[in-house]
Amino acid sequence: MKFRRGKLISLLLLICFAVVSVAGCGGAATEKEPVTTGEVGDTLRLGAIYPLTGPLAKLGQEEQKGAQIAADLRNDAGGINGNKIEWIFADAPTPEAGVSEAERLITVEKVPVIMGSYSSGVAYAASAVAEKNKVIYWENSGVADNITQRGFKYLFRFGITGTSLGETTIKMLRDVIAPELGKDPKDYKIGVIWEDSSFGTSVGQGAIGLAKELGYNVVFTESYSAKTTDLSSLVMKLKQNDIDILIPTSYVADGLLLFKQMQELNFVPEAVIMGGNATQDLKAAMGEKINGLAHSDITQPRTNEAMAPGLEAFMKEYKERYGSEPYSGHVIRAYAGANVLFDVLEKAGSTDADKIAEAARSLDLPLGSTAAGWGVKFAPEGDPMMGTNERAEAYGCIWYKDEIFTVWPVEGQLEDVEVLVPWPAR
Amino acid sequence: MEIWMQILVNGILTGGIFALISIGLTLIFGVMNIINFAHGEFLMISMYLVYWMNVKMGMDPYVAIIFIIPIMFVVGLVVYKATLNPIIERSELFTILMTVALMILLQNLALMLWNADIRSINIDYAASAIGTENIRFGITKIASFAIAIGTAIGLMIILSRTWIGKSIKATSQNRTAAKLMGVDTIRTYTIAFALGIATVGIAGAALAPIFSIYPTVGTQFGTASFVVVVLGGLGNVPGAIIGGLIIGLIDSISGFLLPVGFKEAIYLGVFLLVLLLKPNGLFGQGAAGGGR
Repeated sequence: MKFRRGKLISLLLLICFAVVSVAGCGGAATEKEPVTTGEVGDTLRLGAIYPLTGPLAKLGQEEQKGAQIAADLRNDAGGINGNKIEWIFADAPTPEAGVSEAERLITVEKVPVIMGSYSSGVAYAASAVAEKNKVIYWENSGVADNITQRGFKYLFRFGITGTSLGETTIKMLRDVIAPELGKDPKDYKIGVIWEDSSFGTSVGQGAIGLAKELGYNVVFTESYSAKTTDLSSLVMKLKQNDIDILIPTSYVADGLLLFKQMQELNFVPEAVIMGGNATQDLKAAMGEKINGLAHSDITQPRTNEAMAPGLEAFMKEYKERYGSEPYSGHVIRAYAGANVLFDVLEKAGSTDADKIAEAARSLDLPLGSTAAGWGVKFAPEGDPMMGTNERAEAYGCIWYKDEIFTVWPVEGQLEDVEVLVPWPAR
Repeated sequence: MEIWMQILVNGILTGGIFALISIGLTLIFGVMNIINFAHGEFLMISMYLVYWMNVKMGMDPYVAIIFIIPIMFVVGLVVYKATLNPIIERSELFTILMTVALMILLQNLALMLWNADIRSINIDYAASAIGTENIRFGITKIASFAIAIGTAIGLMIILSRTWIGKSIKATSQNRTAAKLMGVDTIRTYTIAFALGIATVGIAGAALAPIFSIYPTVGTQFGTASFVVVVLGGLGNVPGAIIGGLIIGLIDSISGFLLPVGFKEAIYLGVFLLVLLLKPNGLFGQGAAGGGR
């Protein structure tokens, strides 16, 4: 009996680890249609990879909506050089699925461009397949810095990097929060914590980097696993270090756990500036207590149109289709990124990867040129961040009257927003 | 000093949560030799049920326990009859594969039915605490600790005082002998499994005010509850409570002394040590359980 138990337990251990990678897998096979050549009047079939099932599905599906709205509106306006755009969506809940779906899109569907991917992990893996096959990979969302640190020629990242998300937390402290509290930002004890995936790590390091450069007092830095079921010991350390300004980067569930345990354990900093995660889930869970919480994030629906041309029209379309406000800024980023891609394809006038890449590199648009508030200028060949958009910067936003408003850069503010500090209110 | 008091309190209260989740697992493990990989998914289903009862009917999560117990019991009955009973006579490998399949099925079912939204019960007292300024006891944590103890005692009474409890024990000690003595082992297994699921249902209700609810929430607790069960001895209900407290304390203390990223590694290290040195768990009863 003892022997059998031992065997059982070793099996258990094996499966424990195997299961983690199995769960949530299962790509959807789409029906194959004849490949088109991309001539005028034809349909231009483009690939798009998002996690549409599994734990990342929520925001993957949001980005899919953004891509679809962009294509529909562009088709109504005549498409790309007379070609109608059709997305071939592929489901990639994991990086492994990203690889196989990218392979399928390229070899079976024969798409000239793949857009993606919400998840940095999927973007990192799938873009390597595209590069190998000389297919354009157009990344709107993955923020992990290392996605564009591999010298890929056919990879373009329209969206922000994790470093930028981190830096904006500090810029918000400098330009919005500290002036509101009437203190010099150098007088604060800053604590930076992050979940330890590549997302949290690049945001946390971005914040620490800029804070040190500006001579701010970062007294505590630590990472944790987003899968943890208890953050009380981390809160105790923050309390012990007397942190005034907390800069946490988390996913939704671990962020909520952190805030709950902060309240339970009576840890009240002057302000909390989160890296990312300005989402409706967070609001639903916290109710009006959320007001005053600041984030650096992608551009939010409540941003001044002057900084984000086309945002109002998109918001109207989204509300008409789905009967609600967007869940977060993700859908705006996907929409804006898809539009830039369409412009690039129009300019290239071809589905040849080299021509598309050349057209993309020739773009030079100032900040405030797209619905996401950003400009477009891709880092040139030879740059360590080759292919990343140098004119994309994380925006700062804050919860006010149960809604999230852009407050940084100041030109992006929609109206006068009150910054409620300290947060969380006692 | 106060800070260490708080850390101990945190550890014990977190331990209560681990213990509560592990009670149902240890019962099913100990009686039937079924490693229920879908254990966390039953927890997830219960959390969703409690969430919907709260959102649609305004029911307090703790009141919902009254309804959750019978509902999850029936869920357990149906799942056992449909999936595990037909293969129970075969090797453990089959039941393992079946529970892994159940895990994936339930996760994806939840994703289909309720999508990947991260939901949360927003109740006033969710983050409130009692105690002094620097030694705080979270209300929901105290509640789950008390519920863990209550559930363990309730289960032990059922196992030792009732006819079905005695047949569960007899079957777990020696299935063939129990059968020869006239115990309906199929019925016994079914009820033991359903009891285990009802217990994890209680855990779901107690956890719903503390944690966010989403289709894969169960996997967060899976590893920890296996560690607790092995530490406490397979099938040993009081052992699960003590195992939970040990893991809770290790989690809290190591998380404070070392970078928090290490704490999972620390308790998994302890788990490996126990497997090597005392494979039946700290409180294992030698040859108890698993008469298959």
